[in-house]
Formats: sequence, C-alpha cells, structure tokens
Amino acid sequence: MRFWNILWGEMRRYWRPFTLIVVAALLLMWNVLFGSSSFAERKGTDPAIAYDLSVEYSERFGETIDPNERAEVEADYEKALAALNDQYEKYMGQYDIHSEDDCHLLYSAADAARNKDYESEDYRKGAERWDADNLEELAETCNQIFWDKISYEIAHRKQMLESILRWAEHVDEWEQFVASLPTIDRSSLEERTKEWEIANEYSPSSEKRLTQVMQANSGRLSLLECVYDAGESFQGHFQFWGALIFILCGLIVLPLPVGNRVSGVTAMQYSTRTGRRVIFAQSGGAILNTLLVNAAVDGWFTAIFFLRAKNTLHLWNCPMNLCSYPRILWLDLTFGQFVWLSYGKVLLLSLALTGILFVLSHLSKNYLPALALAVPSVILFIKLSYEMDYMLNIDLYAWFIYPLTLLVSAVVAMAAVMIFVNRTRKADYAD
Amino acid sequence: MLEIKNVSKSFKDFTVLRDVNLTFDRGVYGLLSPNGAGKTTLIKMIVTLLHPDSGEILWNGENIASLDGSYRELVGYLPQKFGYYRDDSPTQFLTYMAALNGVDAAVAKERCQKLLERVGLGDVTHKKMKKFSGGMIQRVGIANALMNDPQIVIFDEPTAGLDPMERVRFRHILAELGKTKIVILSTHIVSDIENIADQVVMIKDHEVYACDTIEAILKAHIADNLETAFMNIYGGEALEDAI
Repeated sequence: MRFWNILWGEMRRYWRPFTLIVVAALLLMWNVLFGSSSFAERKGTDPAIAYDLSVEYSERFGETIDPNERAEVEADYEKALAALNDQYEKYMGQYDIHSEDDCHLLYSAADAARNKDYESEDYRKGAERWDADNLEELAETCNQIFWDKISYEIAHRKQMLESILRWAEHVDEWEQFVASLPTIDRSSLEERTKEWEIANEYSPSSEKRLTQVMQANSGRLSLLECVYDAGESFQGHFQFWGALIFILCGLIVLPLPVGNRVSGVTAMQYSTRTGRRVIFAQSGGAILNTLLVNAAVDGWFTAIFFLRAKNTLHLWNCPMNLCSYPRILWLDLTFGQFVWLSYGKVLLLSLALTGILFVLSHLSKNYLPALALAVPSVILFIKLSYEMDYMLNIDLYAWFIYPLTLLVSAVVAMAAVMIFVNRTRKADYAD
Repeated sequence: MLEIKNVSKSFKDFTVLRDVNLTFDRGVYGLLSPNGAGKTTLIKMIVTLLHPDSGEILWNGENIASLDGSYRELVGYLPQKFGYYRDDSPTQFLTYMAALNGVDAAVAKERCQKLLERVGLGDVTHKKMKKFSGGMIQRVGIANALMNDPQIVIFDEPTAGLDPMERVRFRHILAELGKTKIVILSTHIVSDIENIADQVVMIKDHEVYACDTIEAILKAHIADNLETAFMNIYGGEALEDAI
C-alpha cells in the first residue's frame, strides 16, 4: 500500500503543470502539422476516403482478388468512369462547361469580376459566354461540383481502381522476374533490381523468400492494393506520431530527477526510511507514463480505426505481401498484424528510451548536460523507429535485423537501468 | 545510543575525516568548527547519504548500514540546502516526505498541522512554497525533520535565514527536543549553540578535537565565553574563514 502511495506521489510530480501545458501544446501542434496525414483524423480527407474504399472492396472480395475478380473490378472501373463522366456532363452541361479549360476561364472571369477588372480579357470572354451578372455565383457552383464529396469520392475511386489495374499489368512481369531469379547472373539481377527501384541486391535467402511469396500467390492481389493511401497514412502515423511519443517520453521523464537533484530533494528522499528505493517508484512512474503516452497517442487512433468501419475484419486480414508497392516482407503478415507489430515496436522502443533517459537524467547534475544527452537519444530513437519500418523488407535487410534491433534496444535499456539502480543503492550520494 | 567508531572518510586523495570516535546519547550536541572542517560530511554519514571508508556507525550496538530503512525512519534531517518542491504547499510536501518515511497518512496529516503551527506557519499550510521567504522555507524544513517523530534529529546550519524571533523560537524547540532525543546541531555560528548545547563537538585538522560540555571547554582553554575559546582553538583558520 505504501509503495502505491509513493508511486502515486511520483506520478503526480512527473505531471507538473508546466509539463502538462507543453504536452498539450505538442499534441495540438502535431495534430495541426500531421493530423491530415492519418486516415483516422478527418472524415473527407484523401486517406479517409481511401480507407473507406478499401473497407468496401475488402468486404466485397475478401482479402485478395484473383484474376476473375480483377476482371470484375475492371468492369466496375469502366462503370465508375462512365458514371463520373455522366455526372460531369449532367452538372457542367447545364452551365455550358465541357472541359477543364472552360472551368479555368470561368474562374478567371469570376476573379476579374470580383476585382472589378472589367477591362480584362478574361472578364470579356467570360461575360460573352456566360451571364455577366452571375459570374461569381457560377464559379462558386462550378467549384462545388468539382470539389463536393460525391465527385471527390468518384475521383478517388478512379484513382484506386487505376492503381489496382496498373499493378495487375505488372504481376506477370514480376512473376517472370521471380522465375528467372535462379538462372540469371548477378550483374543482370543488379540491373533488374535497379529497374524496380530496389535499393540493394537480393541475397540468396531473400531470393528464396521472394520466389516463395510470388509462387504461393500467383496472380492474386491483396486488397490492400486499394488502400495504398491508407497504408501510407498508417506508415505516416507511426512515423510522425511515434516521433511524438519519443519526444513526450523525454519531456515527462527528464525534468523530475534533474529537478530533484538541482533543488536538493534527492538528498531529502535518500535520507528517509524508503531511502534509495524511491528509485523503484520513480522508474515505475516513468514506465507507467510511457504506457499512458502510448495509449493516449495511439489509443484514439485505434479506436477511430474500429469506429470508422463497422466490419474491418477483411481489411485486417489483407496480406501485406501482395501490395502494389514492391513490399515483400520476411514474415507472412496480415495488415492487422502489421499494425499491431508497429504499435508494439513503438511501445518497446519508447520503453527502452524511457529507461535510458531515466538513467541519463539521474546522472546529470543540472538541466544542460541532461538536455545535451537526452536530445541526441530521442533523435536516435526516432531515426531508429523510422528505419525499422523498412527492416522487414526482404530487399533491404536480413530477416534477423528487426528482432535483433528490438532485442538490443531492450537489453541495453534494461542493463543501463539495472546497473544504475544497483550502483545507486550502494554508492555515496554527493550533491 | 549512537556511536561513531574509528570512522574515516576521504574524497579521492583528500582526507575529510580521520579516525572519528563519538558517542551521542539524549541531549543537544553542538557540532562546531569553521567551514570546510568536515561537519557536513560527518552528518551525511550519520544519515547514510555517505558511507565511511573505514570504521562504523552503530545505533544501539547495530551497524546502521545493516539496519537500513529501520534506522533511517528514526532520523530527522534538515540539510544545509533544504530541498523542496516549489509548487507544493507545506502540507503536500510534508505528507509526501512522511509517506517516504513510512508514516501513516492519517497520522501524517494530524502531525503536519501541529508541526506547522509549532514553527509559526499554521496560517499558510496550503500556500505554495514558491511564495515563501527563505526563513519560512527553513521553518518548513524544521517541521519536516520532526515529521516522523525521530529519535535522532540532525540540523545542518539550521538558523540560516531565520530572523531573531525565529531563532529564539527554534532554540526553544531544540531545548524541548533535547530532553528525549539526540539532537545534533551543526553550525559555525557560536551563538547558535552557546545557550542550548549540552555538549560541544569540535573538529580540527580532520579529527575530533574536543567533545565536552561548554564549561569544560571554557575551562580547558581559559576562556570566559565559547567564542573566545573558538578563536583560541581555531585561531587563524577561523579568522581566515571570517574574512
């Protein structure tokens, strides 16, 4: 009971008013800067529409589409395109607008009317063609037609379907490439990998893995194909918001031990009955805060993920290995597993960073050296997390690099904390 | 009974204390010497912030290092630099420190109110300490040292920042505490201990130079007051310190 009281006391001190204000300001700043890059953020943004489309497709076709379904999608695309053109015709025809050039002319004429520039060429042409008194209103209507939700979604649907079909054209070529892998020489392979914009050569084990994935899924495409934008937004989320988690860990963990030392509170604490065991409550508080920050930053994201689509099961089960982007992973992960793995990675790295910062802050005699040590540590972890997003790709890293990186981070942090705690319990405390 | 047996302490090559032997029983002990003589180092060893290089410190015959928390809960400590949280009120800070000392929350609440009244801060118990003067902070420190109802109370330069009225009030508290507890008062201000210390401990050349009653020290150094005796013992060292 006493430990929990002390832990609560430490938690309260981590969250001092200044820290709360800075955390709130950073969350707001991140939301403004990077919010729109996440599908979960705002209804109606590109990633949000792409995500809704992906749910629709995955529920219609399952996790992958085979060549027959692909033909269905193609027909769907033709229909959607025709519907799109019909809509344009329907709306625009009423106003004698038949092309993009017509639209541009209308906008320029409306601008000139707004600025009372009645002598301009644009105004003259626009006024001749449309009702001169209603140019601004007409331009606004045209603008709405172009950008209203319906046409916007249709435009997206078109983009997504085009993406699937474009990728489908490449599948045969890919398969040929994979089939030729064992027979072609290395120099030729190098040329081909460059052609596919792959940074490194394939190793024998990655060749094997590539062949295995392509042969096992001959002709099929992942429905993640439709969520290219949504997939990108997930990656964006983990990179941008993951970086925020690391920054917040530093911001919350660092000030308390340094402040305690500078103000002389540490000496007071160490001379009490609890003595240096207060370190356990402080480290427990730091870990709890990291869990809290992870839950707060990623929790709403997951919640919205579930709330936005009533049935996300198919989407969760879409295989990651059959996306249009040549992204073949060492593991057979579904989209859902990939999302949880990414959560886990950020959580584990943030815990490791917390441990390291906890030690560094206790070793620093004032704020300057603490910052000088903490800032590079946070940057290092942000870069490491970013790089780890690509560590599962077979063409960039060996299969063991990802788990090894996680293991090394965890072991280094745990060792640092254990050595520090052990040393603190025995050593002299000189302020 | 607190016994310090053959304790020595060095920092790198510099010896701060050499072969210190002292015994403290109930009463007020004045630890008197010029700055830098090793008073704070001795105190920090008594409160276990520092560990002796050699020798041992015993509480009722047991080494304080092995007693660990059960020894520290008997110690009340006001360091030279009293550390506190600026955004806390005295009540918040004292109850937090009481929790670290293992004092029951209800007992701590009651004791906190009484002690703050005793040090003259009864009307500002919920005010943030960042608005306090140096003297008020020092009084919070005194209250904090007494929160766990300690058997050993250690004050390191406690009168810094206190005005004359507060000093008088503090002396009364010390005299009362000395009836039942070991009170160690470290200072380089002679007048702080002249009227209240039962015994005076003097450190010179890193060793205990004297540990005796004020009368005995005055007699040994043919002085009519402690300040003269102090000057006789430390001479140039104390003068240099004063200058």
